Amino acid sequence: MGRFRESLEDGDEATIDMSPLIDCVFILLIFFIVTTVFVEESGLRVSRPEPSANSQPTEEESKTVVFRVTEDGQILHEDRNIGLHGVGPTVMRRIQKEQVPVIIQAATAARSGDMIRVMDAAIEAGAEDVSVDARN
Amino acid sequence: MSPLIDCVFILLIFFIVTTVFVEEPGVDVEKTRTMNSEQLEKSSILFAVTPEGGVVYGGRDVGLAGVRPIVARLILREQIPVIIQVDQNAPAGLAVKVVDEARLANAEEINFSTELESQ
Repeated sequence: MGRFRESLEDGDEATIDMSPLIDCVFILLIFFIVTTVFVEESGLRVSRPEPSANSQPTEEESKTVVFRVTEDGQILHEDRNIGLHGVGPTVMRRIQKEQVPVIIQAATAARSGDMIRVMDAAIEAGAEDVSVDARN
Repeated sequence: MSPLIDCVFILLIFFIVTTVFVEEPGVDVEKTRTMNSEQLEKSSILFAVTPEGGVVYGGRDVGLAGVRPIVARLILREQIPVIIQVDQNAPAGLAVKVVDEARLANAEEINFSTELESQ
């Protein structure tokens, strides 16, 4: 008893050796630093046309807006080359009264960039249902 | 010593919380610049479609046929979004086919990765 009190007064506190814990934490830290990838992706949601709209898109002109993207980057709407700048106004005019689905038919060999830019222009104009389709 | 340990612990917790294990395609694609682009989920299935007609997942060209099994396996437990990094020079037909394959594997959300145009 007497000895115990004496040792406290001397300041000989019992301490836990922390170094193995710290080593362990550092290794974990390094593992997580190395494996972390910060995936920052932004993009557009795509949908595919409903089968009913897919079957005869040209005959349902009143219900859908169809844009065709050709291999050489032309954007056709009702067989006229309207270009990328024509997509927005066309979509806006058609969705004025009610939302209609927009279908983008890209030629199989068309550039994806052209197809995505048409999608973007249609969404920018306020279309809610934009889907993509490919055909020869 | 203890402030150092506190600091290291905080860093550790930060990295544990932010880590998502995503298989990145690991190829450089030239993304299309668009005006609309929404922030996509961090934990997703990433495919890349290259101009040469390859479909890349996790550093390997899995081809079009590889898309469905990969997506089916990964969404078995819970639905996670599929992101397709389409090169702007890649054939549109291939990009649409990848979307189809993912859809056939029952993926609900499929996105094309784009780059937000700075205005």
